[in-house]
Amino acid sequence: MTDNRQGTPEERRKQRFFNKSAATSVKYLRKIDELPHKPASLDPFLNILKHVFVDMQGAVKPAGTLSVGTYCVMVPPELIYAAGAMPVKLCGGSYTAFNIGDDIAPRDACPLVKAVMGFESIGVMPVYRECELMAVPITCDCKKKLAGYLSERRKTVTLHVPTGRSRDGDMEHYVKELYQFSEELTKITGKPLSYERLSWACGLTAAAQYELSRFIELRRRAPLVIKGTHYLAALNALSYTHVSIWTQYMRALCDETERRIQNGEMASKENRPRILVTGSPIVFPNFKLPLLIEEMGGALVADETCMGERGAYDPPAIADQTTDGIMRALANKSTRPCTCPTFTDNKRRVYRIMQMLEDYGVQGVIYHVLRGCLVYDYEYRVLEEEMGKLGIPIIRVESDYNEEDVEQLRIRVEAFIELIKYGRGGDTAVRLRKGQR
Amino acid sequence: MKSTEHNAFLNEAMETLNRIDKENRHLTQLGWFLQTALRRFDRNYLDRRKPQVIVLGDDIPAELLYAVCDDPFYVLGGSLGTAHWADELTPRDTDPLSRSALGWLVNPAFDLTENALIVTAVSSDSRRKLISVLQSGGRKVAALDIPPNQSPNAVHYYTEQLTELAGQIGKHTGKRFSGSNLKRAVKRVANARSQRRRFLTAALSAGSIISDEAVLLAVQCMLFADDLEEWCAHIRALGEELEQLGRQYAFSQKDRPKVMILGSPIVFPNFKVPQLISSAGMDITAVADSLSLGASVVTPKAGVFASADALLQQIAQTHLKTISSGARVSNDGLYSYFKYLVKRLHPDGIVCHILKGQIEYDFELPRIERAAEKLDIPVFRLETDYQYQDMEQLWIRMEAFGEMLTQRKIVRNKRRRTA
Repeated sequence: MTDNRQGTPEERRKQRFFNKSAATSVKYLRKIDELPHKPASLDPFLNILKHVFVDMQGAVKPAGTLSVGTYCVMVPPELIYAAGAMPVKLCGGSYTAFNIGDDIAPRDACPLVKAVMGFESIGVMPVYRECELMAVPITCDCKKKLAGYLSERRKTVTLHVPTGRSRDGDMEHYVKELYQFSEELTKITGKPLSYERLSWACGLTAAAQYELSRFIELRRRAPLVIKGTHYLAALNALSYTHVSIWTQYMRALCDETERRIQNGEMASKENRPRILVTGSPIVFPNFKLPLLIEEMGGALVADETCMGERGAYDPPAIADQTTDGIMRALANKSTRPCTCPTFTDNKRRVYRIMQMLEDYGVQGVIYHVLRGCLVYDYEYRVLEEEMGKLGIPIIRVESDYNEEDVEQLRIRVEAFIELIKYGRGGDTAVRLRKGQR
Repeated sequence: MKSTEHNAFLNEAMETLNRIDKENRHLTQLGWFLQTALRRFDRNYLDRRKPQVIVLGDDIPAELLYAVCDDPFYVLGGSLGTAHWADELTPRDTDPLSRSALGWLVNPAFDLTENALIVTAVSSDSRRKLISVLQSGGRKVAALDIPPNQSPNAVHYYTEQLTELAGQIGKHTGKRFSGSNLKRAVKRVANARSQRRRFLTAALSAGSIISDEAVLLAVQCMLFADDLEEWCAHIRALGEELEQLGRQYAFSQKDRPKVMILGSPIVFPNFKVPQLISSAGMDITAVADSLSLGASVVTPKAGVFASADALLQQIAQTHLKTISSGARVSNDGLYSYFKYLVKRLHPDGIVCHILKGQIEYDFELPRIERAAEKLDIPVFRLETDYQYQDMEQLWIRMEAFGEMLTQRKIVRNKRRRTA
């Protein structure tokens, strides 16, 4: 019997990966696209996701720009832009890559890290392959070991994120880490760190942050003007796009949103329960949770995750107009306001969420825990207590990177939405919105 | 708290101690160690003890602790009873060691933390969140952040933190951090570690005179004893007793497979793994976990004119280099220790002990497996928690591993004879 299959087993394996991965991405892009009231200006963002995950192309960037892979929001993009490269946030959300990573990483490792390891091991995704350097901030045990895994294969820089923020020494240490990172960047791009380049890069990201803050403000005024899933897709696209391109797209989205608010066109009805999602990041294509919320009649009005608003809302506050001043401002911006559970004292996350409840008139909180993400799981108890005091319902939803649990999640999300609709949550949200705690 | 709960907490310790006592009746010097370990579970003692400084885990350099505190109280975990107490405070996937350590500090039975400063190192996700749980419960905590690598920036940051931590502890205990105090502490710790090494050598040559669990307990009592010098005296006496018995009597030396335990720390009273190994017909030749590695660190010699800062810098460098914990991107400390032990003791097999939830050790397993494969040593991954329900299943697996090692030994000996 002759073997009619083409290519080596490894080539066939890679082709299977391409096909499966693209099929999942197409499915989720279609679902996002088919959600009603999609703004026309969302299409460029969806095209970016399609470009990377379906067409299997690299990041969207000006020709000749080098890519630097980052694995957390704590890597300041300004530093990478200043070096003449662009950051690509590589935290994985792919089910196909997760399945490959499942064979490499320990069983109890989080799916996000398994997906990254899967992508790295299969080595076919251009967006991963084109990265000249990997920057891994050490924020949890899995990232720590991921850094070890990547360093055996790729040029990798680890950034030690101090677990405390109160001491001056902690900040000083992170500034030094950023200087070391900058040296590594200079080695690959040949462009040394300078005040001019840094301030130019800060201007570049500030423009994006301005558009984003404009969008956040619009959304705060009218939480139902855009579907949360659409908003998350736009923010996910930032991970794979040069910030100057993304800013243009965001400006168009803001303009359209403004028009919609003026015309009173809302994406959801007023009586839809307003939900906030917090916890482990939601990375494309793993959009099952936001899609489920909106399919089941909820309105995803806000998110407190590192792939969402948290990743981009704080511009650096530069007090000292020198290179060192900007570096300090970047270190400050990356860690001090951050609500990542990597910090031992993370009360500000609770304050931030409470602020968001008030801003968006949130009626219920869904706490997303990726299986194995222990740091987020620890903080659930604290948040549950606080929400209990406010009378806001909260559920913990644990999920993995596969579709086997979708139906179970659907039942839970549906029940939660019904609970808000017909039960508690509504009155508290109205009170909070009026500023009466 | 119901009395039955405290009974369950005490019974677990009693069961382990009774077993050790039964197997080692002929060792008169072991009594002190059994008493010391049991005291840890005595409610009166726990109510009375009121430690000034509680050390959570084993990642803080002992030299630094003894420089500013005379009798640190170590809380390592190990107890199923205390792990149950912390169930509601921790997520489901938390490793039992962290859960148990938290249960020691937050429970309805006794309060060790009253007026105590809890000192710990942020070496894992659980630890970083335990700090937050303890602080939100009104406990005073001083934390040491362990850098994940060995860069000059990391060493500088670590040293700076050690200085600050010493100051914090000193302020709490009223014992000033000074060069002379640090030098004295270095000497004390070095003496204790040297006694430990001498005892382990004696225990290894004593063979069946002392059981493996007894060796582990005696060594671990270094962290349970209220007085380090007292422990030193007793471990010396026990070592001498072993040597004397070895000279006086001809104990039968069975040719059982020798295994090395590696991975998650084994903490009293949960001696499940050594118990399984012994009952499956194998001997433990060495334990390579963070506890034993920490205790085997060779303390830098303090020069007469060395300043506290210079000495601390040396301690920081040594610890950061040798520390075995999940805090590191690459756990080179554990890996080098493993290679050193393999070269010195030639184990027949390796039992990689992984406590459920301690994924950092799981991540390191492939590296250990690759190294062991090169040396033709079989590796057995044993994942478990503090529950005792899986004992039978584990025993079957362990027995099969033991039989495989025995067969390999027979074949190897046969080959050697034929050659």
